[in-house]
Amino acid sequence: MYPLETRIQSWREEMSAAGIGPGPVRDELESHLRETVEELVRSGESEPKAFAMAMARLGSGAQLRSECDAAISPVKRIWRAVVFFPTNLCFAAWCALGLGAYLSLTILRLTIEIAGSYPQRVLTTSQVIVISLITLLIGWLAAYVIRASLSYLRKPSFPMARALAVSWTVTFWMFGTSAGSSVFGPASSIQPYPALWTVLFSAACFIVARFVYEHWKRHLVLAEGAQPPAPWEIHE
Amino acid sequence: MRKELVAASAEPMILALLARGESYGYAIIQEIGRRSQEQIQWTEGMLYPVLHRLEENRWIKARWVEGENGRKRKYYALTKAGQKELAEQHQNWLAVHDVLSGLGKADRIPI
Repeated sequence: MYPLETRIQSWREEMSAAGIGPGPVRDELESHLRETVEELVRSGESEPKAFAMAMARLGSGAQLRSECDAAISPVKRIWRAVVFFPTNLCFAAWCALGLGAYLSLTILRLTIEIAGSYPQRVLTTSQVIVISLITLLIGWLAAYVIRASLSYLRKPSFPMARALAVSWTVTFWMFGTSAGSSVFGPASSIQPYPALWTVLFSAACFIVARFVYEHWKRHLVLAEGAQPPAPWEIHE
Repeated sequence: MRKELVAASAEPMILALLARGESYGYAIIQEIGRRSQEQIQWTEGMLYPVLHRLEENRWIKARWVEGENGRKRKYYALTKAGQKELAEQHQNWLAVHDVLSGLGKADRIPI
């Protein structure tokens, strides 16, 4: 017996990942998908082949989404992107923060230098850039962790829990250089290079998260021709 | 058939089809295919945005109907405003058709 319902369930998830979440549009497409499968089965196709053909006719989630997007106004499109993916908003906020950090630090530096109250430069340009980039990096990670946590709350599972445990631990770790110094040596040796350690920690976090994801992907059962979901699209 | 032509002609065809009675996405694609001797093959990705746009313009209205096998289908029907729109678009397309057929087929045009 072909697991049609399971296949349709994973199709629903693919649609959700592409931004066509639960709602009348997805219901309508699903009704259409079922109709096409039935019609093909009636005309003599086997169920697995009928499902594959119906999927191919309907098009991928991204394709459908871009076709749907083309039909609506740009303002509505941006609004929908924000509503469907709250983490986009979170990410945008962090990007703004990174840019804000860069601008305010630059202004501060110039003000102090022009006033002449400091004999040497307060912050070098490269330091300002590094601080801003770190803010961006933390933002990206925060957006990822929040999104993954939300999908875990919706549908808990072991691989997700493991990935979350790693990412939360490393996130907390990153924020305190004192925590890092207790592992990597005396505080004095860490203090001059907090930026370096932060970058190293976040890189380690990404590598571990990637490793967990690759491990999880290997045990995935996929429909014919389907692509495995990206790490941020995992719901189970 | 060119994409632009498909997009432009979809609206009056859907309106005209719904003027004959309510219908749903899958049946609309089948019916248009059948009537054009399979020359016009619409895709779902093209049809549904057009249907939703027509619905937004209030030219058609939709309702969910549950069939005897428990299957839900979204049926679309023409509204009063839709009938008016159809009459207007029909007129425009007839004008295009008249000019083209009056000029004759491509192989009869002297060079």
